[in-house]
Amino acid sequence: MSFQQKRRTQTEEYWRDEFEMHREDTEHLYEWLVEEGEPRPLDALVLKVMERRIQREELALAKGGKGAVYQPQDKFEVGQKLVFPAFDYSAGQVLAVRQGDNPRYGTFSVIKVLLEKETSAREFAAELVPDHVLKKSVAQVEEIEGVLPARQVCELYGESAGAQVEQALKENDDFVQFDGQWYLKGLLPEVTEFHLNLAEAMIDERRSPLTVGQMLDEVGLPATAKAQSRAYALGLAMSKDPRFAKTGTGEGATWFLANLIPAGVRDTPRRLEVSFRARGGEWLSRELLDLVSEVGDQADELPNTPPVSAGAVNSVTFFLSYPHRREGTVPMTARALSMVEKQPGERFMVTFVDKRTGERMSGWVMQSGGYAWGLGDWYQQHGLPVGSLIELSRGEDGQSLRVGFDEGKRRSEWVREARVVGGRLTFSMQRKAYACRYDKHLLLEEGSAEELDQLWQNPGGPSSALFDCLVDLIPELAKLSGQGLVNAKTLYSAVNLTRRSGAVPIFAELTRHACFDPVGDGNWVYDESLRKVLYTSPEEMSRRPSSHRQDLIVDRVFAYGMPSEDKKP
Amino acid sequence: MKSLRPTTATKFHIDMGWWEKQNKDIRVFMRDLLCAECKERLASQPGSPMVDMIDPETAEVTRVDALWEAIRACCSNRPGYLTPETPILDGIFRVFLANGNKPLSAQQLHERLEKRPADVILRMLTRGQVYLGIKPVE
Repeated sequence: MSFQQKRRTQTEEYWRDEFEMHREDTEHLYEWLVEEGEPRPLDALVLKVMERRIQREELALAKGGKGAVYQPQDKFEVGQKLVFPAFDYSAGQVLAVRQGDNPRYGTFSVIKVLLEKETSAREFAAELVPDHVLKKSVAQVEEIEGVLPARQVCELYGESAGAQVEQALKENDDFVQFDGQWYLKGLLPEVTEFHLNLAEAMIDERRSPLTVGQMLDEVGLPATAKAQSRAYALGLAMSKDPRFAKTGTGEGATWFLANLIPAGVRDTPRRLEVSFRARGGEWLSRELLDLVSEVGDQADELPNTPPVSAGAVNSVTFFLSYPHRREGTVPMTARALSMVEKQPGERFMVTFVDKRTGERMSGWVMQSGGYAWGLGDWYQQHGLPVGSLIELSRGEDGQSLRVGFDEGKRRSEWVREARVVGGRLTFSMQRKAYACRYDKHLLLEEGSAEELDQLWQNPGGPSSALFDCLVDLIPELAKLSGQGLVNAKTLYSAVNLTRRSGAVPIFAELTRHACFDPVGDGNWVYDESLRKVLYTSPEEMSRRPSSHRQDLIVDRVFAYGMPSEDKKP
Repeated sequence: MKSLRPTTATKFHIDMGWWEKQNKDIRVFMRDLLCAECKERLASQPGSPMVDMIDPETAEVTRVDALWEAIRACCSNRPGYLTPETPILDGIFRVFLANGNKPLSAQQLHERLEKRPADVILRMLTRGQVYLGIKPVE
């Protein structure tokens, strides 16, 4: 049976444990980028380094006359020729052999070797018994194995090598990284204040975000550099200038003027900063789970919700909550977001199109904030109250969202109107008329927004704050109903007048506190005498043993977001 | 291409020339870092014996002071050599002794010591007085 020494660069151990960026590797990348004259992503740089290492090894192995590959466990003789992988495959000849001198390693010998292109000899261990990384990496394999091409080696082990390459580039002042691409500082075309002023003027004139490519010709960077290099330099300079704001990544990245970005896009509006959101595992009755679906609040979307594949959803509906109405925003759940085909970044522009009139309105999507901004005037124009049903549907060009509501005959309704009296939120019934479809339980008139602002609670209060808020609100709302009932959806709508909360945290409080009892149709009653009693097990939350109500509805509870076959009707 | 002012990427090491100029013996400091076993073993060897040290990556052999070799190969791997309580500059000195005085930047020292940001380490190393011979590599 023949044995072939496996190439070290074909092993995971080499790239994971042995590989270190040398000055020669960095110089190789430097020269390559000079030749390319364009920025390149890290993956491409890693491949170049791996290619070089693989070629060096092949070269060394091809030069059979240069000798065997050095391994510290082998015995060598004076005059023997060796190749040293750890020294970039330099060849050398054994000049002398002596006894090793260190009891820590046991008995071993030391060979003196003069490496090619060096003037003084080095010494290396030989006949070494203890473990050494060079012994592990040069694995002996039976028969001749196929040699993988560099690209395939890179696919397999590029991640291990990539961290080393990236670190070496970061520590080298000659290299620069921007938007995932690496380049050489020395090759960057100069971008002056004049160029940046021109870019600013172009965006200001068009009043819409532009790609670097759209600005490049007019900005007039010297044409001596390649277009991609000029675009890179301009983008890099704009990223360091506070006048500009990037609104995407990669090729689709656009640039806008920071002072033209609406405040509600630059920073998350305080009324959209969620104080209480669903975490998963909250206990809710089947009826409350259905109400959560009806409400469709993005704060009830669990963090691990998988993205919805593009094209799977054509329209979504939601009931307008006070925070979104006040800020002119819409909730962007995973389903809503899937209707926008191009999502160039965390923050990007969309066009809202009025489904009925075709009017086009500029908007922004904030992915991590879970909202899209730009419908404030539209809500006002159509007099849409809190609780009205809004439909978002896929636009024709994949970059727009059609927005509409069910317009009907204007009809009058008794509606709860919020007022602030003595620093507390109170409600009274008022007659109002609306020409849109709405949920009568969610329907609220906010009265004076300025007064409500004084009661607004930002996130960060005690965890008991939500329960205290419910206990304050329920008597206020209950007095408006003849039987002292409060609908769970009404409670959700009212809570969101003074703090941002998903429906799940509110409904979970209703479920676990004995002072709240469900009496059917989503209605709940409050019993002050049980204020300090908590149900701790799902059975208790379902049967509610402390209740004094004859009309109590016993409903099984389920953990929110957890799979359960029993939940299906 | 390099600027004169040290940055968090500037490499530092223990400058042995500094110890000579100060007429100080680095071996006195090294002896304090020996573990009990090495202290006992080396106590029986008078003078400054030299031994072979094998590089863990290249297998290159260098003749080094037996004290330093003991620190690199044994004592620096013992718990207690470098602890969260070790003063930061002492910790940097111990890192260089353990790695054979291979130059490291403030950023790399921060990653090895897992305390104090790199810029703070840089300020400590460059605020004027040279501590234990730790200087930028010239």
